[in-house]
Amino acid sequence: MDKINSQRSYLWQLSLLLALSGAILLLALCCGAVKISPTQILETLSGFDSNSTASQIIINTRLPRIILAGLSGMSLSLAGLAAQTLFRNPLASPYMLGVSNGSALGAVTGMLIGGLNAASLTVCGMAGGIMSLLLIKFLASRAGNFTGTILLLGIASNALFSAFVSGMLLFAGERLQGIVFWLMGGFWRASWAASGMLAFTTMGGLAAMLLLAPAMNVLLLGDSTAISSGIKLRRLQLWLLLIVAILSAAVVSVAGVIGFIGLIVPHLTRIVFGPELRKLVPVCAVGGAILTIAADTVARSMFAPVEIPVGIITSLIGAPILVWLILVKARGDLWQ
Amino acid sequence: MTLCANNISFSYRKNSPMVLEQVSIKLSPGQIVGIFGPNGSGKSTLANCLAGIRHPDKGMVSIDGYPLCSIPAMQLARKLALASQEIPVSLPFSVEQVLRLGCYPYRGFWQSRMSEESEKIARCVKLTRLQHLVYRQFNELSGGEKRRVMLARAIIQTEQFLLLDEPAAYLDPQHQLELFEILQILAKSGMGILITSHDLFVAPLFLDVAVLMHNGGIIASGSPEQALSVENISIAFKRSISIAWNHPGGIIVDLGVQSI
Repeated sequence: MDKINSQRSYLWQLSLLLALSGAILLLALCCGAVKISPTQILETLSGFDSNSTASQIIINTRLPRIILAGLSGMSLSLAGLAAQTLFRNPLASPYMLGVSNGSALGAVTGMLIGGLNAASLTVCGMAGGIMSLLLIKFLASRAGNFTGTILLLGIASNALFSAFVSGMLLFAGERLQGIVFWLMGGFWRASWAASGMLAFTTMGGLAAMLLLAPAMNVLLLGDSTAISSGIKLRRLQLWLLLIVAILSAAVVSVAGVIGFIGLIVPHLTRIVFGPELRKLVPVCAVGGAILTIAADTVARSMFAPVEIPVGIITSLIGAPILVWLILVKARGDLWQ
Repeated sequence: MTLCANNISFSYRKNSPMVLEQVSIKLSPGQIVGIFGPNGSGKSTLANCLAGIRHPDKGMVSIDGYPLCSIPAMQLARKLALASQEIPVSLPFSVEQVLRLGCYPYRGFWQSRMSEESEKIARCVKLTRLQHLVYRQFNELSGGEKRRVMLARAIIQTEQFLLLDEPAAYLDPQHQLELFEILQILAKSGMGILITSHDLFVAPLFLDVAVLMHNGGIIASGSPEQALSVENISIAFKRSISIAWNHPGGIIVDLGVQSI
């Protein structure tokens, strides 16, 4: 009976979260350099008004941007949850693997060679991320402690790729400002094409994590216990590694480096929905989308028409939340 | 149904010393087998090989003649469970959620059989006397309590072979006795149980078979009185140790002060 009640309460909480995401979506569509009323938004979305300036802004600018922000938030929070499970470390984030800096290096190289067009950025960013993943995987497969080695290699490659990115900035010339702004993270380059690409990786990652969630629960008990429970440990670890790498590389390649979402959203949702990963995976995705859309709305509305990189907003929100989680809520143990 | 290791040898790396050398052991249903030996004698490695966590370099571990590697992972997990020495330092779960993970090998791809699982967990909680801990957070427990929860999780996982690596570590004398009483109940129900221990004080009283290891090999095997004789223990532990088996309060182990 308790189980049925908890199932019902989960569905209620999930419905509330979905309603909240709907409200945030509407608010995000209204806010910006040009204020648009909810009525105009509803008319545009229902197809009654497709020619006005407001509807053009909604269809061509705001909607793809909000969708891109939502998908980025989903990807980062799912990647964070996968990294925290893979490393059994509540402080793990999607950027620990070094793939994000590999992706950033690829994108910056693309910008210097091919200019600032979105397609070259995405392709080069993804290529950089995947190449750094393959390098880490190749080196780690020679060591005994797989996850420990991956973690250390991640730290090393993060430092190495970051040095390369900084070095390349010296040769950026007049493109320097654009590249630095991009590195801070933001969605101003949003397009339906970028959203489509990110939707593909995000939904793939979400589906994979939903399927892996029961095994991920057992993985937290330790390697020996997981193998003894019937889990093919190395295969599960590789899947999680791949999920973290692809989700984070995809986000970096379309929106730059956006911090804290992948670290704090899994913890915030765990407080409300509990630690069971079959329940946590979907709400973590929705929670990440809500927080990122909200941060992006603030980033483009606060000093409109001037825009702040969203990475600054997520860090400003994320750092105090993390401190609160560690010192007040969890009293030093984030798994609590 | 028997769990057998036939002449298994194991080393952690190529060209490094063998941790197990030509070890053979058999575990039958209803039997409690204890593996004893000093630290580093190969007890845990043997338990890991028997559980399929480590794969021997030579020899074979099998259930009823079928090599472990030929049995599908989930099927194997239902046949044997290992409670390793490794206890998670920190987990986000409650005790009830940890115990529920013991049902993992019985679940379908997505669904769980809620009522069956709950009954199984309730039976195990009663047997292991964990009622007062069920709704507490795992992280709030003491080391001994965490170990008892992990043992209960392993008991939930299997009905055939239970492999316990140093199960009495961190437990106070009362809970050590309680643990062995529980193992006796499980053995009577037909479960084959293997424990490893470096502790000679309590465990030998509850065993059917004792195996004494030293430097990766078995130096004695048989009834506890035979295998854990003064001579054998003196060889394994390099100490002059005498055991009084018939003492009314249990066995008395007298640790000699002189190294041999």
